[in-house]
Amino acid sequence: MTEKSNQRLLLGVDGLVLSYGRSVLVEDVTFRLVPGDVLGVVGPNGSGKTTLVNCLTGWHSYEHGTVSLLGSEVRNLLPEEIAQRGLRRTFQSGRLVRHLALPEFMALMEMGQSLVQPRSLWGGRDLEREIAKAAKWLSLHLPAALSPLLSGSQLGVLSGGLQRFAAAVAVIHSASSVALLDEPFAGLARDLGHFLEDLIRSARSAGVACIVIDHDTRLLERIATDILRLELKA
Amino acid sequence: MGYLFHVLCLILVWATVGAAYLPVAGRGRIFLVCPATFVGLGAYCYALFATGWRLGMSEGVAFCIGLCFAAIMVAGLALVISRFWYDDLIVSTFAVQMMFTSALVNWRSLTGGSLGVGGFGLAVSGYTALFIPLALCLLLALCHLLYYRRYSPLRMALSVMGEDPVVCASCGIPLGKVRRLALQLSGLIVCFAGGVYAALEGYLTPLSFDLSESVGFLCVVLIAERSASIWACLGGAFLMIGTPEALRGIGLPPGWIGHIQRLIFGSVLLVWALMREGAKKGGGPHGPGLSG
Repeated sequence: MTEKSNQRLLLGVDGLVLSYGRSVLVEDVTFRLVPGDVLGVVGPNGSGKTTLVNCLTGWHSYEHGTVSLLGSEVRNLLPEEIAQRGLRRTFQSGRLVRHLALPEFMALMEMGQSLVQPRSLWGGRDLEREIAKAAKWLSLHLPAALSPLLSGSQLGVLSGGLQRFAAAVAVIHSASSVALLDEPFAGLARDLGHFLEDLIRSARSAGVACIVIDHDTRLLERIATDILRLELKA
Repeated sequence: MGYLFHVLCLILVWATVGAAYLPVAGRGRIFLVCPATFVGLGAYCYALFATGWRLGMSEGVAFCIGLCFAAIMVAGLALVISRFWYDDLIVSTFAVQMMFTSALVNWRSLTGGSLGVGGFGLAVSGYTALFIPLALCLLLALCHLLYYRRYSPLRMALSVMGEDPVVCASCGIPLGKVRRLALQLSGLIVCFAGGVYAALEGYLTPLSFDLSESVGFLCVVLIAERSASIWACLGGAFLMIGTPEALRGIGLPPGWIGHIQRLIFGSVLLVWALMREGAKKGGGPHGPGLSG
C-alpha cells in the first residue's frame, strides 16, 4: 500500500454509489489504480459491472462518491473528454465502427480530438500516417496469421470473436492511462485469449492500468494484480 | 446558348447543395429538412445588399458583403441546429424552414413579400458570366477537399459518428464539435451557392426557398447517397433540373409541371426509403443506447 501511494494515481474511485429508483446498481465501490495495475472485476449478471464501467466513462452520472482520473474529478466531464484523458473502453457487445479496417479504427482512436482540429481539416496526411503506424504495430504485435486478416478487412465482416478481439486490441493500443475491457475474453478461441493476455501484460509494462471484467475468476487471478468482487444487490 | 448556360448553372447550384449536404445527412445522419433556408439566406442577403441596402456599393461589393452577412447568420443558425439530435433535429429544422418561408412572405417591407425582389444580378453573357460556373466549381472543389477524399478527417469523423455516436465519443472524438463544424461548413458552402444562384437569376421569390425546394435538394442527396460522390450529386441534380425542363420541352402545360415535379420528389423519397439497407428487416443504424 505504501509502495502504491508513492506512485502516480491514474484512476481513483472512492465510495461510488449509483441507484435507479429503489434499486442500487453500484454500491460503495472503492479502488485505486497506478501504472501497471490490472484490476479484475468479477460478479454475477446484474451485479453492476457494466454500470460501473459506464460511470467511469461518463455515460452514467453517479450519485455519491468520487472518481478522479489523472487528478481530475470526472463527474462533470463528457464521455469524449474522459476518453481524451487516455481512458479507453471496449463494449460488452463488441461494439465498434464496422465499416473501418482495424488500422483505421486504431488511428481514429489515436487521433481522437485532433481529427477535427481546424488545422487538420484540410489535410489528411496525419491520419494516413497514423494508419500506417497502426498497421506496422499490428504486424509487430500480432501473430503472422492474424495480422493480415485484421488489417485488410472491414471490422463488420469479421466473426464476433475477432471483432471483440479487435476492439480490445484498439483500446489497449490507444489507452494512455487506463484501458477498460468489458468481458473481452467472452467467445474468444483459446489462442486468441492467450494473445490478449499477452497484450494486457505488455500494456502493464508500458505503464497503462487495465480494468478487466470477466466471469472467469481463474483467468482474472492469472492476469490481475487485484480483484474487485461485486455482489448482486437485494 | 443562354438557355443551356442557365440550365447548366442551375445543375451546378443543385449539385453544390447536394454535395455539401450529402456527407452531413448521409454519413453523419444529421438529417436537415431546411437546406433551402441556407440557400435562401445567401440569395436574399446578396439581393437585399444589391438593391435596398446598396449604399452606393458596386454589384460585386454588394455580393461580397451580402454573403459575409449571410455567413454570420448561417454560422449562428447551424450552431443552434447542431444541438438537436434525431427526431428533434427533423422537427426543429422543419420549424426553421417554416419560419424562414413565413418571414420571406410576410416581411414585405424587406423582402417584397410573395412578389419577390429583383433588379440585381450578373449579366449572363460575356466574361462576367463565367464567374458563375467558376464559383460553383470552386465550391464543389471545396466540398471534395472537405468531405470526399478517402482519408478526409471530417468525412471520417462524420461517418463514425453516423454509425455509432457512443463509439465515436469513446474514441475521444467530440460529437458536438463534429456536428457544429460539419453544419457550419456545409451551411456556408450552401449559402454561397445561394448567393451565386441569386446572381444568376437576378430575381427572387419565396417560392424558390420553400419546403418543396428543400425536399428537392434532399432528393439530390438521396439519389447520390449510394455512391456518395460529387459525380453522383451532379447526376442527381441533372435529373432534378433536367426532368421539368424535358417536360416543358415536350409541351406539357406549365401548371402540370410543378405537380409532376412534386410527384417525382415524392417518388424519390419513397424509393429511397424502400431500398434503404435494413428497411425490409426493420433494422436501422445503431442508436445511442449502451445496452447489448
